[in-house]
Amino acid sequence: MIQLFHVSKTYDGDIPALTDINLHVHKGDLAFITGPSGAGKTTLLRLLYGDAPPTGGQILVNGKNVAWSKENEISLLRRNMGIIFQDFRLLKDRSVYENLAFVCRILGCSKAEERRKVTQVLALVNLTPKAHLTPFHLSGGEQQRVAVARALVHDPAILLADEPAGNLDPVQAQEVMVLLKEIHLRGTTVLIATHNPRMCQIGDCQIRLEKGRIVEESRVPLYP
Amino acid sequence: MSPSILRYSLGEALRSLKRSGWGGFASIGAIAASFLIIGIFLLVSSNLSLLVSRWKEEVQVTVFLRDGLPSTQVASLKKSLSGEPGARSLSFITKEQALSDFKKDLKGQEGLLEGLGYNPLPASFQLQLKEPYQSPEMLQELVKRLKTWDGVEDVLYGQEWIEQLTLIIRLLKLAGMSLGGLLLLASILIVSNTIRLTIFNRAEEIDLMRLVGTSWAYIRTPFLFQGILQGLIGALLSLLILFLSFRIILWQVNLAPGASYGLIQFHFLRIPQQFFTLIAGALIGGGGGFLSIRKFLTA
Repeated sequence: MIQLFHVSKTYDGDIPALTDINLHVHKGDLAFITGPSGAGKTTLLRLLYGDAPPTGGQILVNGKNVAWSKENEISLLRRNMGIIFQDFRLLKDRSVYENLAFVCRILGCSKAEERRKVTQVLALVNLTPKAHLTPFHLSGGEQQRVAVARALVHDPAILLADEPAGNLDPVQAQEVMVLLKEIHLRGTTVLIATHNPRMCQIGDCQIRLEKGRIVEESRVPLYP
Repeated sequence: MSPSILRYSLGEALRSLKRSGWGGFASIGAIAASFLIIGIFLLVSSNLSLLVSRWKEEVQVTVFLRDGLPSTQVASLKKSLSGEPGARSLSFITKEQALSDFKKDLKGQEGLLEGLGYNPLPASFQLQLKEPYQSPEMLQELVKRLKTWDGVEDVLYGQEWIEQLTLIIRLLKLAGMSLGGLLLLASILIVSNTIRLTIFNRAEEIDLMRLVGTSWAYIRTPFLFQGILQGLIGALLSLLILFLSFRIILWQVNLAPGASYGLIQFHFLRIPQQFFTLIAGALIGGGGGFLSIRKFLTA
């Protein structure tokens, strides 16, 4: 599903963010990228969704080479991805329902389809009763659940999450991680970047980054 | 462009226009003011041009004859003038007719001439010229030549002030275009700035759209349409203001629009000119939108 071959990325010409990254995330995996702040976790995710080009190497996502993709190909690639951020990035002047419907609308869903999809994901993240509220009236955990719902509303095959529990207290963080596990169990490939190693216990594989290099890679055996 | 992008972009452009508040109002106002200035100059100069072209049709050279010219010489002059290549028509005004016409012009003040005791007005030929022979150069050349003819006292033509009026019209057009052009350039920048603010206000939305794989065309087109709409509304507003002002001014001076008042026939901007104003408005607004898009909405 996601393959990286000798990928490197430098900023401003000479500041290395990632060096010689080789990685393989299988379809249906729940993978964790861990490491301290500045290890290159966010850069790695940005390369995967085409927000920044690699300096070297090849990146295959769903069989498409992201490194060589043009703008319109990257747009198409992102339609098959859901992305979650630490700071939620919700539209603050719109209700929970409108935040989700916005994605459906710009992706060209019909009104009926929009209603069906939004209702479905709201139920999945358990926020149906709060559909009419704006993000201002929600807790951090609830806002992140809206962000998860928004990332899922267009049925992506891959979900990328950058520190999804970074801004949450331990209870809310746990709720969000359980939700991501549920999404993974429904068949979505989930890749989570986190600095908290305790979160990784629920994953199939774990990649540890330090100073832009993979220092450890472990995979839970399918048949222990 | 697919119909869905078109529909979405138009809807978004209208919503943005409503939300842009004073910024949008300023953009539309600036465009309206610029086109209004161009329109005023255009309206005045095109009405003056029409007037001049009508007067040009009336261009005639008056050849005054020396007093006491024998009828054979008058006949010979008549023949020569009729034979001029540019001559369209020729009429002879006798001394008596000239005096009677002058009396008619004096209407009520005829007594002024009673003390004279003689007719001071000369006989004359009125020579009407064909269109190609009405140019200032040809007229001057003709007048110079006629003045040398034996029996000719003087030659007059009303071209000098028509030439001056033509020059004034040219200057009016130039002033209108320069001033309006400068204001239109400023309008492009104002529209661009309004759209830049809209882009900044919607930065989160645009980020989100990029993240879920919306194409640049889908993101940019509403802003371009917003500029075009502002330009169109501004141009339309300028035409409305100009039209209403035109009607009010004509009404004030008791003239029906389009009706003749002597030689003067006032008319509003022609349909192609109005159409051109709207198209130019759309282009100016679109240009402003394009500037912002190119600067702030790129990969």
